[in-house]
Amino acid sequence: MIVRRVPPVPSPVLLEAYEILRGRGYDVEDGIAEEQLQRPDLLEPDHDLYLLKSHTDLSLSLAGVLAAQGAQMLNPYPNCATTQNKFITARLLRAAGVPTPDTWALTDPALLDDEVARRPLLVKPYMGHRGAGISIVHDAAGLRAAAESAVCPMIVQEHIPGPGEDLKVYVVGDQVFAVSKPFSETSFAVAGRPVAVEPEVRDAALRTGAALGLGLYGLDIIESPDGPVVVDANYFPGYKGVPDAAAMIADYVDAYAQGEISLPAPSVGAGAPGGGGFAHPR
Amino acid sequence: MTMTIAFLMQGPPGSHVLWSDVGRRLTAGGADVEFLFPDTSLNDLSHVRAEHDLYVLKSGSALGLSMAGALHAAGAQILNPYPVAAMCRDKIVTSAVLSAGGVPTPETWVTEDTGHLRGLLESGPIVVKPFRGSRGVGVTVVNQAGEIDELDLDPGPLFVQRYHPPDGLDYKMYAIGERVCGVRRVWPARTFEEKLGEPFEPDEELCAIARACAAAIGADIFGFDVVFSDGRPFVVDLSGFPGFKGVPDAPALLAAEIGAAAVRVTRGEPVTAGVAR
Repeated sequence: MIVRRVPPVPSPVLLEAYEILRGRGYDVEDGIAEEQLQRPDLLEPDHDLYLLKSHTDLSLSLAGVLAAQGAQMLNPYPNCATTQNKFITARLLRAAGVPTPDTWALTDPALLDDEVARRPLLVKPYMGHRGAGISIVHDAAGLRAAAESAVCPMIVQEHIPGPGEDLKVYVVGDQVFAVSKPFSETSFAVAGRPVAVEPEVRDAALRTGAALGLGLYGLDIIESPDGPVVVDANYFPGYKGVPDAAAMIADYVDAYAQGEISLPAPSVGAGAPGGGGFAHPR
Repeated sequence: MTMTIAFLMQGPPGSHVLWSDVGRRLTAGGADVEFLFPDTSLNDLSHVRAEHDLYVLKSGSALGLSMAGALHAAGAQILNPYPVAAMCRDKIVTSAVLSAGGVPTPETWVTEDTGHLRGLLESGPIVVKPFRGSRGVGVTVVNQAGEIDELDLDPGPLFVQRYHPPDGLDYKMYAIGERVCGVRRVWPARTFEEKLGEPFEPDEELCAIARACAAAIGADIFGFDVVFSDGRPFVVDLSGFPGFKGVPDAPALLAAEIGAAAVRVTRGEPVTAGVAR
């Protein structure tokens, strides 16, 4: 288990999942990459399965070192690396028929002057998750101001009008859960209010998983007047507020460790209507 | 049918003398060549499609690399392949893969905690490099513990290697398919002539290192830096698609290699020849 540093206290969901897995005879260890002095040139896989929970650069690099040497990883390393890159996920999700905002990548904000005159846009960093560093702009001046503080290149998205609450969707295999939360940069730390999963939300969630090759993942969805729109996807989320999350995660890890589940590398076509299929045989 | 080749370039159009020459040679050979500049374009991510038989990823910018990632996801054939290019941007993964492939590399550590560096200095000087850097920017040699606090470090992972003082010149090595070229260069180079360096014919030891690098990273076109210290070679840096500065015949060699890759992909063969594998 490669976990992250923030927050400093281990997630209770993870601790409970560890206990369930230990009860089934697995040896479970976890480590925080940032606290250790690592020798990447000597690092070799010495566990049957690695769980990549952390989203930091260093953890992803170490996961890359292990994966290059054939380590089994959940979610698979290339799929996690792809999911971190908003640029690539935008293309994959659109191809998979997932409703997503129109998305552009650029370094010069003037290229979108015409677009921002027509409708509000969202500026976000191209690597990252959890809604950090996002701003909404309404005109060319606002876009320039956001561009000055943004890390280039910028990802700019069509702003999707919503009810003021984000739908946080958590998925374990083919089991989909949703909680509703007011939107903010720190909302990842807040437990939401569980809500029923509508068929359209479920379909968008499973298509996203198939397109990105993820089995444990989360989505941010805005319920627009035209239906749910996926605005963000991330691997191995916190599952805060999901009932029995630990047991479901443990079951999924168990099945993955036994080779019962495969998560192919992302490609255009996976999860698309009429092709590719979902990556979850259960 | 005409082969179509697109170059993903970095920086302003018109500043790429070598690559314009490569493009002209490919055009003369019958290919349809286009130069793309993702950094100065509005890239509509929702509709990226593979419109060329082969993409040549010269750009090292975040946008260029991400564009290649989106094209790769859309099934495009890219030289170097996108996963290889992405790996070469990550010093941690690259050094581990080279070491595992039997390439002589210095001992390597990563950490976010500078407190760990003191212990490393007990066995000799170290060199601290930014996690994602290139062209030697931000590379600092640390000899004594007192210098650690003076390091101007960005937050994030530190990439640390044992420092092996060079016996003489730096060896800039270039692989273009089966051809291995070398340029000896003073470091740091001060004049234009010093930057150009002096081309030399690599011996079998350096050619073997080039083959080991190619096999480890899975690329046909790349560059790497070798330092000899006490007569022992160490690969201290590797770059996925370098500038080939000072390499005689670089345009002809690159045009031939890229043209061969384009022929391979139109036949449905892998984009890399895998000469060394």
